[in-house]
Amino acid sequence: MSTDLSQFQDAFFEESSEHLTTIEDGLLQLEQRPDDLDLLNRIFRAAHSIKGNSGMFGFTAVGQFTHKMETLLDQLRNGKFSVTPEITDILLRSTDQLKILIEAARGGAAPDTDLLLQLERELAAAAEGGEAPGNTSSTPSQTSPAATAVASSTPGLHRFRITWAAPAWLFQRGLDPVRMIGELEDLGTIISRTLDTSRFPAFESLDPESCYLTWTLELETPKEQAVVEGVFDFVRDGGELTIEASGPAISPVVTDDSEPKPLGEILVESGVVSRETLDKALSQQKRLGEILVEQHAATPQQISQALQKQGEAAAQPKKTGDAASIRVDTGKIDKLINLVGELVITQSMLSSLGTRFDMSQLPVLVERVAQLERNTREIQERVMGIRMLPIGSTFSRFPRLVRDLSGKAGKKIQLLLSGEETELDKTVIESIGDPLTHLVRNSADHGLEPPEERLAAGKPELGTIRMNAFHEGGSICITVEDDGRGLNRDKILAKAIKQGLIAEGEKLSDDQINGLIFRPGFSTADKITDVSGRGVGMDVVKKNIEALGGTVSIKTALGKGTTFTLKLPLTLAIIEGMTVRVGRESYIIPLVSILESIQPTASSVKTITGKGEVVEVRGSYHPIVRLSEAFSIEADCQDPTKAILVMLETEQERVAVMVDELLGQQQVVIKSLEKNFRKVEGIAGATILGDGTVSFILDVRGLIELSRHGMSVAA
Amino acid sequence: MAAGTTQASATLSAEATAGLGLSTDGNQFLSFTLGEEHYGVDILRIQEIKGYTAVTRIPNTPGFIKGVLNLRGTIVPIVNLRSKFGMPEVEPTMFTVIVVVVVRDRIMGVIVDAVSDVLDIAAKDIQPPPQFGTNVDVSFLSGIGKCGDKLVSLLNIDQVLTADETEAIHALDQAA
Amino acid sequence: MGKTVLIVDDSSTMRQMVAYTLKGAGYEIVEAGNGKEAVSKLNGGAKPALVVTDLNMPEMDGITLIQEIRKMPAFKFTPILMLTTESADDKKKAGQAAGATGWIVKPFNPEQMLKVVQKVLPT
Repeated sequence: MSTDLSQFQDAFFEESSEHLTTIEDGLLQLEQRPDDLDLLNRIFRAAHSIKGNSGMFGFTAVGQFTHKMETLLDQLRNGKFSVTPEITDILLRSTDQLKILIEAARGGAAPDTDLLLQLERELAAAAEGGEAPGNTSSTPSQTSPAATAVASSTPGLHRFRITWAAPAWLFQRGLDPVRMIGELEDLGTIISRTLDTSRFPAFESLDPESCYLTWTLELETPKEQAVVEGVFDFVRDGGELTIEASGPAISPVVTDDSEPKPLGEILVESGVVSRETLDKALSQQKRLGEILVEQHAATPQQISQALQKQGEAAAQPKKTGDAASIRVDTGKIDKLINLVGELVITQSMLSSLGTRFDMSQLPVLVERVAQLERNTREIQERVMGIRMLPIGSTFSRFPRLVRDLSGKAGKKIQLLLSGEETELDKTVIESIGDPLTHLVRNSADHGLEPPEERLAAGKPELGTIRMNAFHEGGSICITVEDDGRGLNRDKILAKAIKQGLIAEGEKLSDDQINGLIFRPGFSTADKITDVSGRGVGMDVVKKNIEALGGTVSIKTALGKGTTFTLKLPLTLAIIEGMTVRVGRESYIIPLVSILESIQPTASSVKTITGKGEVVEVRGSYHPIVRLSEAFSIEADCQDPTKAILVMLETEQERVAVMVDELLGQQQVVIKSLEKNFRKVEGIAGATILGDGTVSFILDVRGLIELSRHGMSVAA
Repeated sequence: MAAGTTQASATLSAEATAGLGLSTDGNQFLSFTLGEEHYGVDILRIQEIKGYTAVTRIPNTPGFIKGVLNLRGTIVPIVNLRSKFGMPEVEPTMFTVIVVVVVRDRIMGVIVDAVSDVLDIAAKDIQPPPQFGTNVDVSFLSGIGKCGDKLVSLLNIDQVLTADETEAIHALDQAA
Repeated sequence: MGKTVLIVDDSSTMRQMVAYTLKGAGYEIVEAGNGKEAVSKLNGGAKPALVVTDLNMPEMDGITLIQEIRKMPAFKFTPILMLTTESADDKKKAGQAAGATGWIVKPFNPEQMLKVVQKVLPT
C-alpha cells in the first residue's frame, strides 16, 4: 500500500491560505468587537488547523510558530486576558510572518529568522501572566517515558504477568476486551489466562452495559513492557492494571538493522583515524569528473554537459509540485453529474433511433438533436462554472490594507465591501488582486483628503472607500469608489503638459483628460509617499486589466469623489465574437470591443496627410484600419463606402476596422497560439470553427498599434 | 557524513556521463524528400504523420510559416520546409504530407513532398555535415548519412524550426 | 465490502488524508465537516463501524459530538477515536469522559493511524 501523504500538500497549502484569510479577517473584526467569543473561536480553530496539518507534512517551523500564536489565542478565548489593540497588532504581524513561513514551506523565499524570533518573543510575552507557554513542540514525542526507560535494555523474550480489572465503563466507550486480549496475543504467546468474575454484583443490581471482569494473564513476548502497556493506553484512567516482569529475559537476540555506515565513519568510531584526519582526506578526494578528465576519458565540455543534465534532472521534480488546483463546491459537481446523466440518456435514445431509422422518424431525430444541443450547452456552462470563484477571497485582503493605509496616511478611512459573492474566472481572480490593490492605495493616498481638509469642506471626517462587484451583461464590473476630492482637471492638464504627454493648447475631452492618468510615468502626487508613488503607476493597472481582456474607466466629480470601474470578461476561455470576412480569410472580433458597424458615405471618409484615413461618426473623427493592409490580404472592396467599417473601442480609443462582410455572431473557445508558436501582432488567439478549421481572434489594441507602426514606417 | 555525499554525487555524475553517450546511439531516421533530395529526422522526434490539408495563414509571419492547423483541438503551426530551405514552392500532390514533430515542448508540423522510409543508419555511416555544396544552411544539419548508395541529409530539427522564430520571440518579449 | 468509517474534521485536507489512509486499508469512508453534519449523517442512515473525529470544529465540536453519538442507541458501543494535537491530557480526558474510545495524536503517519484503528476495530 502506498502510504505517502505528501500528495496532499497542495490541498494543505490551499486550505492554509483560506485559514490565513479567516485569521486575518477575524483579527480585523476583533478590533471592532473584542468580546466576540465566536470570532475568537473561529480564529483559534483556523490557527489550530494549520498547526495540526503542518505537522503532517513535517513543516515544523510552521507548526512551531502557529503553536505560539495558538497559545496566545487560547488564552484570549479562555478569558485570561482581554483583546487589546496591541495584541491584535502582534497577531496580525504574526499572521504576515506565518504566510511567509507557509510560502517558504512551499518553496518560496526563506523567512526572516530575526523577525520570526522577535515575534515569537512578543507572542510569548503577550501570553505571559497566564499559563506559561508549554514547551511542547509541534511534533510531540510519541513514546511514553516508560518506553524510553526500558528501551536501553537488551532485547530478548520477556515474560509479563498482567492483572487487569477492567473499568465498568469499558463497553460504553466502545472498547472490546476480547479485542484487547487479541492484541496481546499478537505481541507474543499467552501462557496462561484466568478470568475472575468475583466483581459481578447481585443479579438485581447488575448493569448489563457495565463490565465487571478481571483477567490475569501471563504473556511471553519479545516486546518491551512499554509496548505491552500500550495495549491498555485507552483504559489507563479507570480499572486496575498491573504489569510486572515475571521472569528473566531469555535468549537475547542481537538485531542490527541499521544502515551500513560509510567507511570513514567506521574508522573514526573505532578510533583508527581522528575526525580531523578523515575530513582532511575527504577534502582531497577528487570528483569523478575531474578524474575522468585527468585520464583523458572525457573532455571537460562533456563533463560539464553531463553535470548540467544532472542539474536539470535534479531540478525537474520541483516543477511538478506547482500544478494548479482548484477547490470546487460539491454542489457544482453534483449538478454536473446529473447533467452528464441526462447527456447519456439522450445519447442512448439517439443511438437506438439510429439502429432502426426511417424517414418517418425525422421529427423525433430533430427533437433529440435539439435536446443534445441543450444538454451540451448546459454542460459547457456548468463546466465553465467550475472555474468560477467568488471574488470575496480577493476582497478580503482589503480591510487589512485599508487599516494599515489609514494608519500610515493619518486619515480616517472606512472600507465598505459588497458583491463579495459575485463569481468570476479563477485566472481573473488571481490577476486582479494587484490592480485592485493599486486602486485602493490610490484612493486612500490621493483620493481621500486628510481629516482637517474634509471637515473644512463640510464632509464627515471619516472617508469612505467602497468596493463593489456585480454582473453586467456578459461582463463583471468591479468598482473602487471614494468620496474624496475627485480628479483635478487643471492639475492633470498642467502635469501632462509639463511631462510632455500633450502639447499646450491641445483640446481634450473630459474622458481624454482622465485617461491621461493611465499614461506611463504619470503621477499627480506632489510628494512620493510610502503608500503610493513608488513607480508603479496607473498605467500598470490599465495594462494588467487589458491583458485580461478588460477595460478601466473613471467617473469623477471635483470635491465629491472618484469611481474606477473595471470591466472584465466573465471567463477567459470563451468569448462572444463577430466573424468578419476580408477576401478569402475570416477573423473573429470580440463582441465587447464592438460599438457599431457602419457603411460610411463618401463625404464622411477623409484622408489626413500623415495620419491616413479617418471616418466621421457623429461629429468626431476616427482612424480607419484596413484589415486587408494590416494583415496583407487581398480584399474584395477597396472603397470604404462599399465595405463595412466596424467601430471598435479600447481604452477610450476608437478605431474603425474595414472589412468586406460581417458573417455573424457566435461563441468561440479561445485557443492559445503561443503554446506551440508565438505571439503574433494584432492577433489575440485562435479558435476552431464548426468545420474544424482554425480562425484567428483579433487583438484590437494590437491592431491599433500595428496600424500606427505601419503608418510611421510609411511616413 | 562527508564521505556519503561525495560518493553520492560521484555516482550521479557517472550515470549522467553514461546518459550522454547514449543520446548519439539513436540511429533510426524517418526519411523524406524535397524535390530530388533526401532528408532524415530522428525518429524519436516524430509525433505523427498526417496527410496534407489546407491550413489557415497567419498574418505578418515569414513566408515559410505556412499557417496553423487544428490537430485534435490544439493549434499547431505548419512550416513549409521547401521555402525554409529556399527551394521553390510546389502545389501539393497526393504524396504531400505533414510530419508532426516535437521541438522543445512545442508541437509543430513540417510540409514535405513525400515520406519514403524509416532508415537504420549506423553511427559509422554518419559523417559530419559538409561546409559547402548544399542548398541547406549547414547549421540545420547534424550530419550526412549513407544508406546504400543514397546520401541522406540528417536534419537538426530543433535548429531548423526555431532558428529565426526564437529571435522573433525574444524581440516580442522585449517589446512587451 | 469493507467496514465503514465516519471521518469528522473541519479541515478538508485532514479528511482527505485520513480517508486516503483508511481507503488504502480497505475501509469505506463517510465524511463530515463538523459535529452537526456528522449527527445528521448518522441520523440519515450512515452505519459506521468506527468514528474518527477532530475536536476543534465549528457548529458542533468533537466532545459534544461524542456525547451525542453515545446517546444514539445504534452507536452506543461504536468505537470513537479523537484526532488531537493536544499532547496535554485534559483534552483526552474530556473526550473519554464523553465516551470516546481512544485517540490518535497528530501528526501521525498512515502506519500509526492504522495501528490505532486496528486496535479498536476488529478486522
